Amino acid sequence: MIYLVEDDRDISEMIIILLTEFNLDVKSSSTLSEFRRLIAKGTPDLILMDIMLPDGNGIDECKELKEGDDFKNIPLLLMSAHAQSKLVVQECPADGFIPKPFDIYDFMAQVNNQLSKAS
Amino acid sequence: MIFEQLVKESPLAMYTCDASGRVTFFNAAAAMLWGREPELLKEYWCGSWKIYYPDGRPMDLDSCPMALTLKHGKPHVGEEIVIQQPDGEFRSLLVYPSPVFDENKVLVGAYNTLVDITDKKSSDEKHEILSAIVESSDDAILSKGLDGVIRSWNAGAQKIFGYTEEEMIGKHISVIIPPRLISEEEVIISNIKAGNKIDHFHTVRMHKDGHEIEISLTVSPIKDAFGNIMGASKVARDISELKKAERQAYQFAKRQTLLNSIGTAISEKLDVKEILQRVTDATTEITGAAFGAFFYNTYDESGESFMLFTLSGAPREAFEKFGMPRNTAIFHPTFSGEGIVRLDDVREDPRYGKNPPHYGMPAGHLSVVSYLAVPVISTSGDVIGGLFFGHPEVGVFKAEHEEILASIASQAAVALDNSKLFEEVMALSEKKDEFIALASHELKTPLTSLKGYLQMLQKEKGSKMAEFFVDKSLKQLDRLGALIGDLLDVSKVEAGQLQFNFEFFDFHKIVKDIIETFHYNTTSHQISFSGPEEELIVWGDQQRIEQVIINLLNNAIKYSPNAQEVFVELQKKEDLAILTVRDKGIGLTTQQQKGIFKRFFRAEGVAHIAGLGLGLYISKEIIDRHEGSFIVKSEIRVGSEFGFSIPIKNVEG
Repeated sequence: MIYLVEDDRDISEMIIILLTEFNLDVKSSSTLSEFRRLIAKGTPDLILMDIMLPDGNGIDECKELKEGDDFKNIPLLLMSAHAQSKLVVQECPADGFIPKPFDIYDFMAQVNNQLSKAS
Repeated sequence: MIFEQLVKESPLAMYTCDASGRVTFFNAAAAMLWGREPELLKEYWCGSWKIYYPDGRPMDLDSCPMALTLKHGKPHVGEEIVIQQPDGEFRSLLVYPSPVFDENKVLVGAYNTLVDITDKKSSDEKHEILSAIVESSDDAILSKGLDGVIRSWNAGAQKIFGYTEEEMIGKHISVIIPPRLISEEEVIISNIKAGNKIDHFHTVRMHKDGHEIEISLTVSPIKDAFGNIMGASKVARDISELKKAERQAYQFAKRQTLLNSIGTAISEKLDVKEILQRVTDATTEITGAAFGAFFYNTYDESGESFMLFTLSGAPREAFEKFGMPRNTAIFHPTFSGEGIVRLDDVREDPRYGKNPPHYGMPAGHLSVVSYLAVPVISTSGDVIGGLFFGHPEVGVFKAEHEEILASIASQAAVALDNSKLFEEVMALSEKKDEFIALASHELKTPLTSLKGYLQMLQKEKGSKMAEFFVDKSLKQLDRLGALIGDLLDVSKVEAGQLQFNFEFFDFHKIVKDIIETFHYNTTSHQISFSGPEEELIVWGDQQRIEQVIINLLNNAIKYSPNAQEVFVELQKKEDLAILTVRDKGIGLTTQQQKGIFKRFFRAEGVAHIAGLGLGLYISKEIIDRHEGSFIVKSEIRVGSEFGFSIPIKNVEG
C-alpha cells in the first residue's frame, strides 16, 4: 500500500494510474490533515509526499515522521517541481527525492527500490 | 724743526690766518680736505670752496668760525660746519679756530684745526635711522646677551608683550617664554653661539597678563667689534592673525573635502538609512555641533509628529526616552519647510518654552543652547523631515553654516528621491523574480502529468506512426521542461539563491555519460571525445556541472547546423580540469563574444535558432561558483570553442 500526498488533482490522478499499471495499491490525500487521519488508521509500505501542500510543508512533515517513533521506518519519497534533490534530502532524512516532471521509469525504479527495502 | 714737520705732515687739517683774516699757511691735509689750495694772502678765513651751516644754509665767509674768532678775538671751538668740495662732495667738520696774540695782547692771527666728522655723522645718521626703524616697527625687536638677559626692548615689544622697556631691561628672556617651552631658549642660545641664525620659527610666547601669543621668531647673532658673538637680536612677529587665517583656510579646505565626499557618498548610496546617517554625521561635524539628528516627518493622530531616524554625536538612549519633538512653535518652521532656524541661544527665543507639558526642554534632555534646524525638502516639494543640531555653548552656529547646510540638504533630498525610485525598481525586480519562480513551478505541474501519460502511451506500443508521434511529443516535452528549468534557475541566480551541493565526483565519467546520451538522441552530429581515459576526481556540484556540459553541447549542435561534428576534449593541467567543446558552426564576432554571458543575450542573425539566451548566463554562474573560469575562442563562419576549467581539489584535502 502506498500513501500519496499530492494536492494537484491531475498529477495525483496520473500517479495513481501509473502505480495501478504496475499493480500497486495507492491511497491519495490532497492535504496533510487528510494524510494524518489516514495514517492514524493504518500504516503504508511507502509514502509519496509532495513538498508544496496547502496546509503545510512536506519537508517539515517528513522531519516529524522520521523523528517520531511511530512512522520513522516507513520509506518516504519527497516530490517537487522546486528544489534540487540532494539539497532537499539534506534538509530532512527522506529516503529519496523525485523531481517533477519525472521519467516514469525513474519514478518506478525509486518506488520499487523503497518497497523492496521495506519487505 | 720737529713741530714744523708735525704740523706740515699731520693728517689733521690745519691752517693759519693773519689778523685781517688772510690765509697764511695750510697743511697738505687741509688742502685735501678742502679739495683745493687757496691762494695765500689772497683768500680770507678759510680755504673751502663753499661753506654751509649744519642745517644746510649757506654760510657767508665772514660768518665762519675763523672769521668770528678773528673778529671777537675769542676761540670758537667745537663748532660744526659743512663744506663743499669743488667736486661737489660735502664734508662735515668740527672746527677749532683760536686767536694768537703777541706780548702786547695784540691780535696777530689765528690757527684752525679741522676735524672731518663726515663718516661719524653718517654713521650717526644711520644709527638714528635704524633706531627710528626699530622704534616704529610693529614687530618686537629686542636684543639679549648670551646669558639671556635683555639689553634692548622696542615699542613693538611693548605692544606685543605688554612690558615696558624699563620693566624688561636687565630681566631674563624667559619671562616671556611659557614654562613648557623653556627648553627652546637653550636651543636658540646654542644656535646663536654657533653663529647660526634662526629664521621664522613659529612658536608661542607669553604676554604680561599671562595669555599666550603665537609668534614667528627670527634670531640673529650680534658680534662685537672683534667679531665675537656677544648676544642675539630677536625679531618676533605676532602671527595670531596669520595663524587664524591659516586655520580658517584649513577648515575651509577640510569642509570642502567633507562636502565633496558627502556629495559623492550621497550620490553613490541608494539606501535611505545610509544616506541619512552619512548626512547627519557629516553635517554634525561641519557645523561643530555637539549632536545632530534627522527627524522624519510623519503624521499621527495627535497631529504632526516626527520619528527619530538618524543620530550623530549622542547615543540613541539620550533621545529615546522623550516623546518625539512635536509641532511646537520652535519646531514649526522646520517641519513646515519654511526655512532654516539658527539661534545663538534657544532659551532666549520668544517661541521657546511655551508649550506643555515641558515648557521648554524636558528635564534630562541633552543641553541645547545653540540651535540650528534645516528642513529637508524633496524635489516634489514635500518636507521629508528636518536636520537638527544642538550645542551646550552659546553662538556656536554661524551664517556660513546655514549656506553649507542648505546645499547639503538639497543634495540629500535628491539622493533620497533617487533612493526611493531605486527601491521601487528593486521591489519591481523582486516581484518579477518571484513571479518567474512561481510561474516555473506552475508550468511544471501540467508538464508532470503530460509526461507521465505520454510515457505510458509509449509503453502501449501502438502503430509505428503512433510510436513516432509519441516519441516526438516526448522530445518536445523535455525541451519545454528544460526551458522552464532554465527560467527558474535564472530567477534564482538573480536572487542569489542558486543552491549548490558540493561533493567529489568523477568528471571523466560524467562527460562520457553525457556524450553517450547525446549519441542516443542526436542524429545530426557526431560527438567525439579526446583526452586521458582515466578517472578524474573533482570537487563540485555534479548536477550543475552536467548542466553546463549539456548546455555547451546543445549550443555547439544548435549553432553549427551545417556541420556534422562536435569535438569534446578533456584535459588535466596542473590543478585544473579543463573541458573544451568545439564546433564548426557560425561562430561569433568579437562583439558578440563580449556579451554572450549576459542574461537573455542572443547573437544577431540567430532568430531562427530557438532559445531564450539563458544557458550561458546560468553556466557562467555555475562555473563562477566553482571558482573556475570560462574560455571562449571563436571565429565568425569558422567555428567556436567553449571551454571551462574547474579546480581539482585533492581527495585528501
